Amino acid sequence: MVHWQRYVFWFASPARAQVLAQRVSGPLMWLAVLLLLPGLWLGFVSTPADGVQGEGYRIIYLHVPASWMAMFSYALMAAWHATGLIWRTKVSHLMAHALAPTGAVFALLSLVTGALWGQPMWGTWWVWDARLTSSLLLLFLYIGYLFLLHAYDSPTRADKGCALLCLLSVVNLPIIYFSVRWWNTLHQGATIRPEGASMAAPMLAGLLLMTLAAWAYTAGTAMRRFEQLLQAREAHTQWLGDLTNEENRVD
Amino acid sequence: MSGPTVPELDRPWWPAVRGMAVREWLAAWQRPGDLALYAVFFLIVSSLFPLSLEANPALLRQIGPGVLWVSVILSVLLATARLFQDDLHSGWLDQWLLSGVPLALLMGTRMVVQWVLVLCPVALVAPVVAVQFNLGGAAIVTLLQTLVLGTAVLVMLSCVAAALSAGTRGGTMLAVLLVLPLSVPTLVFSSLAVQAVERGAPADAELALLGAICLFSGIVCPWVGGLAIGAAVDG
Repeated sequence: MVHWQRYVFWFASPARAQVLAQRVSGPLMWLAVLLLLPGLWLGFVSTPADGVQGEGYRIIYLHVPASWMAMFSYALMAAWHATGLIWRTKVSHLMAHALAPTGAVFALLSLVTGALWGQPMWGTWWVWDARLTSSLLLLFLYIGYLFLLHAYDSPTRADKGCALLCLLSVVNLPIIYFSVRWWNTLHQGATIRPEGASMAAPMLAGLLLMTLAAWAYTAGTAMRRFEQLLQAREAHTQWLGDLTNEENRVD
Repeated sequence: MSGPTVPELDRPWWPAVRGMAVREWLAAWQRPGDLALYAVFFLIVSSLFPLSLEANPALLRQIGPGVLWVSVILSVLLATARLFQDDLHSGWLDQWLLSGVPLALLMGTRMVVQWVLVLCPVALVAPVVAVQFNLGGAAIVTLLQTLVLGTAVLVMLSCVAAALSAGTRGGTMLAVLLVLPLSVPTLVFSSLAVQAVERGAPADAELALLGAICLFSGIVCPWVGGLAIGAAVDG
């Protein structure tokens, strides 16, 4: 018996995954708040205004973390679904289902904050340049995934179907980006984008803190959602009954 | 797999595949009206654009390739989005699983047959619509080339989406919603190819990329579609 496999797949057991998620989701949300407060302070209070853009540039502290987390979440979802398909671990699929709504919210937030930034900076709410268009398509991919997830009645089919859709979409995502980039550079439609060249240290620190806060928030909500999904699926099992009784027991 | 064990096929699978392809083809041609329906839908949707915009020739030539391709996408998606719904309910897909033929192969066969069935009416109508949009002869030839490659990709993607959404409440609209973001590269490159030729430039790069997307989909989509069918029957 090869022992390292036992530890790699330690949390593939639903019972252990449930306990881990319960223990970890609360602290992750607190970590998010702990990172958010200094990040917000650095971003919106302490750092000076940008030389070119004035105070309006501060929305970067919301926009960039949101965009990064939206893309990262989709990649994570694909990784979890791939794990679930290859090693037949059902909890992996549930992790992906748990990440999807938060990822979609961040995708929407990135588009909205981008528009709010664009209006004072470029004079337009929207422009069909490569990055905006592929972000919009990422949002559509999230929406399609969520619709498919809720269309299924059977849990096993939901796992497999959503996994296939997610993996097909993630392969398509770079293709979408490059096709749209080619389309837009050929059509010369993009306006000049503000240069995010070298950032001053406190600005960079604020950005990093906000990004880590967004990551912690995503992880926390995903864990919480994972808990609830696992509880709903495994409601009939002995181990969940024991766990719940253990929690509710008053000594 | 939670379903019944699939019997190992000890004889060649080609007769089964050929039989299935013939069945699909004949079933489609028993109702030739359906094929005409796709062509008419394509015609009508592309006519809506000049009707709703100022129809001067220069504008039409500019928007023509894009409009044409959006109409093609809509026709193809609506044609193939409900492909597996009836087959799932009637038990035909269970026969797929029990036949022992690899699901990817059966899926690929259905995709090829559907592609030919969709291509015929669309390719016949497209030159007519292209003339309405003032596109030149060379552009029409390129349009047909992009149609051959692009409809293949669209049919493959919508077969996968149909397999994923077969038997669910979402139905046709869900399958269409799933395919639309994935069909953007095809749309972009096909439209760019026709626009390039209309300008007088060569469209080799765009057509090559379309070909690459077609080949890549040709490998990935039957495989993913086969897995989706397996999940649909089991789940």
